[in-house]
Amino acid sequence: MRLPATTAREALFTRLKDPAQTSVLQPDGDLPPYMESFLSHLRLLVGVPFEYLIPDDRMLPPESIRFFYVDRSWTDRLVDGGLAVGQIGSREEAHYQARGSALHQLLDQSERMVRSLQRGTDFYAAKAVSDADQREAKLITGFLLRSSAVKQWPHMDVRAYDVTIAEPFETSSANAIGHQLKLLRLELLAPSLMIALFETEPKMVILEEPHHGVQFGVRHVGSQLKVPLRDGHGQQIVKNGRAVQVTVPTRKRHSDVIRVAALRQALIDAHAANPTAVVQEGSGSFAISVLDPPWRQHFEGTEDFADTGFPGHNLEFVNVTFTVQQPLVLSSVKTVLGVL
Amino acid sequence: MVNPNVGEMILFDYIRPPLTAGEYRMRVGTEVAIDGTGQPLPGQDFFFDVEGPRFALAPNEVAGVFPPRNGHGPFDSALPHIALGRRTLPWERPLGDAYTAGADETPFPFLALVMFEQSECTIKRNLALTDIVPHDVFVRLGQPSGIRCDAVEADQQFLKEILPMPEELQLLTHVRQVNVDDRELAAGDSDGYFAVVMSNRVPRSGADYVCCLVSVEERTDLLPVTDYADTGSDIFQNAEIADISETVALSKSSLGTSVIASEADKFAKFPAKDLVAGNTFSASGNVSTNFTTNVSASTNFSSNTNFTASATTANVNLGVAIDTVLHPKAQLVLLHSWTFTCEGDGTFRQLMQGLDVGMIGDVEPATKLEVTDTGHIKIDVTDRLGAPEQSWYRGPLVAQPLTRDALGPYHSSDQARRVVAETGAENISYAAAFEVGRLLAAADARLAQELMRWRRGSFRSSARQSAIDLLQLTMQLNLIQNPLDPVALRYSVDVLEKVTKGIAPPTDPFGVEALLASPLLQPERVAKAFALKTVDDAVRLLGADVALTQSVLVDGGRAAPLTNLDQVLSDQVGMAALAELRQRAFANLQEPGGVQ
Repeated sequence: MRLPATTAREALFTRLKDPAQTSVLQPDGDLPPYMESFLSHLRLLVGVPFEYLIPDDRMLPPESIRFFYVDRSWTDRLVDGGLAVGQIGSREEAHYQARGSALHQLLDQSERMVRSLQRGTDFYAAKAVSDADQREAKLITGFLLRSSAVKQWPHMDVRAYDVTIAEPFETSSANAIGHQLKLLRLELLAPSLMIALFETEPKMVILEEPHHGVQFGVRHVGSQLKVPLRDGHGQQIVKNGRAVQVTVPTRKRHSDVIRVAALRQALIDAHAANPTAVVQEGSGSFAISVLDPPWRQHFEGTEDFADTGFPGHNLEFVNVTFTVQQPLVLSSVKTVLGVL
Repeated sequence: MVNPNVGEMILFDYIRPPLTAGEYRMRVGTEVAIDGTGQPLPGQDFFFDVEGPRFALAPNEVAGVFPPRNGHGPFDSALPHIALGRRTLPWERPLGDAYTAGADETPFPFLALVMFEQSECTIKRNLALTDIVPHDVFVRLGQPSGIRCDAVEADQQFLKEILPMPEELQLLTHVRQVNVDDRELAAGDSDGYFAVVMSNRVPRSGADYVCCLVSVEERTDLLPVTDYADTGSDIFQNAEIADISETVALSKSSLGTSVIASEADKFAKFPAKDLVAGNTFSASGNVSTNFTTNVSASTNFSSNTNFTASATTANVNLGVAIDTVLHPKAQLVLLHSWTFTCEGDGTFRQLMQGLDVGMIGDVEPATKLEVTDTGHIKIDVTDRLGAPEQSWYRGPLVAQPLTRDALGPYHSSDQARRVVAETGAENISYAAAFEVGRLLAAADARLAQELMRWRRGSFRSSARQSAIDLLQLTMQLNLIQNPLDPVALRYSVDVLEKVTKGIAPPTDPFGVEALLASPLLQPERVAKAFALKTVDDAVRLLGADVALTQSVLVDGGRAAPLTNLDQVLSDQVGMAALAELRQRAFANLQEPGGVQ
């Protein structure tokens, strides 16, 4: 007869040995787990209504990202307020006066486990990990991102580093992991609003598109199409913080059809000025030039190197002077104005 | 062959099949020579065909497409592509006689990926091959009989304008090799090689598209041979057919006036010379066809005719017939197709590059929001008397690192209000924080219970500690180090230990202790301790009787001492004297105390 995998007795035994079961006999005066978890979440502004974080909508316009430090006095007052529930007399006040600073110190450590609690880790396991970290409370920084990119790519990769690392680098390399800051909170407050909190001050924050296989593509810059120069490994060539762009020639009557042979020639010409670009030999090197790898956006330093020419959300803007040059419209305009 | 690592890929320009498609004969023979003369053995011929997809492609041959099938997303900068499982598929058939490549040259592929808007093409299923390709192409294909396949139909001139040139076909097709264990890139393919065909057209936002993988084998009638460069004529590419735009209304001008086609005609009469080929006349759909001027050009149309191509009721049939003649359709053999919609606000890259980056508190001046350099803004509040006033508020998100308030725990929100000295306005940031915390905690019933439990536990342990301190003070009970030990147990154990060690009971109601502690057994104390009636009784008890203290006279004047017991017992006089003394001592005891 086959032995069963487990018996009722063993199952009961294992269940009774579970740490959560055995620590029921809590010493009096220690923090109950639910209370500690609740107050740690409060410390990281979880549950605080959005109007208290951003009092005016104009402080976070659409398609913007705002970086900040967290005011620890404000979060301490949150905890003070939370503990004011049930403080009906001087006895409770005296009790809190005596215990307050010890409680705040305890929460300085417990706030580090909020993220693992949000992911469903058992309280005692998470607390054991955060208690092992005896460092004092560090600065908390973070950002708020309001963009449709959050709605379309809710699983984008968010990382912060305490040094600036130049491209190309692997986020899984030992050097990168060594400099990575601990992520205390990463949540979507609304479909297109993301908040992230880090421990200590970052020098570089990256947002990366989730990986999706191989794609090819070009870039719209104004009304033209451009392609950045890439080297033989597919890396963009960067000069003075900007990519080297090659204009894509398009067909005369169909501006969305690329003249592939002419583009190849343009890439060959650009290679003369940038010898590190991939040498155009055939379709393989052409494919490297039109590669569109997942985009990793760096936020570092104080200068803005974004593309000029991004037209914005709606591409409908009419170039007035150009339109009026067309003879038909020009004549109709003249008639309207009474000139013709 | 170098195997790529996971996450890497190697690109090849082409991979030639070892045998192209066709019919083959294999002859096996053995050469035998006996004494120099050849005696060949009879050989054998084997015939076999090498076949491959030509007019149809099984769906399992397609490893992947981008943009994804039925996808909705910001694909407006992507170049569509299709990945095929067989690495040699695009080069298995020759493109045409004019396009044969030598052994070391790049061969021309026979596949092209064409992207149409949904309105620009029609997909037709299961047509005979002869209905799809023109006759001369059919002849060049080798006149295969009984073939039925799918086709995509579109305007012939349009196809000529968007299909890539043969040189461009070479550039748009390549082979990719990835690691077979790479889940993301290999997608279950067994050998890691994919043939990739790219399109040369970029989608526009807001339109529905269909991508078609077509066979352009021998289709020299459609493939363009010259590049559509910026210089050169643009209206009459093909001298045989005049391209006349359809009637469209003029788009609303930027000034807001709308000019319709017939109205526009009144303003300008175009002389015929403007329509001769070679003139740069913009034909992007802004032209009405209701002109009644003379059209003279190097076309097949007769001159001096008033030609109207608008669809009036009388001329409906004429319009349609002319439409077919003027816009002939062409079909291409369709191997695979999929649709997608290009919509959305932009690619990830575009959105990230377009972000407004700043620290909290950076506002556009145009928005007229006043933020102090410390990050405070004014908000309207009503004070306790109901009058409106303005206070300063700043949330927890600030632009500079701040020091932490060390003034200890706060017990009410009023404690946390601050006043700005210069203006007298209040800063209610921390008071607001306190209230938010209080409301959030009060809303959670379980937290309120846990708080009370925590306080009760604290009070209980505090009471216990006080009890222990008192015991230590009064009972010299120093054994309790840990306040969590059960106190009653410790206390009883401690007492028992002290008792069993022999320490006298703490109480002495009869004064016996005091009596024994005194230097002499004083008769007064003895009388008091044993509750004797008089002190004389005590004296007699203690044996301080006069008679008892005198020496005993023994008659007989015996000089020899008594040396052994027999002599002592035979001394009758001495024994009688001693017996009398004993009797007196007993009588002293018996009388006062009444004790036997």
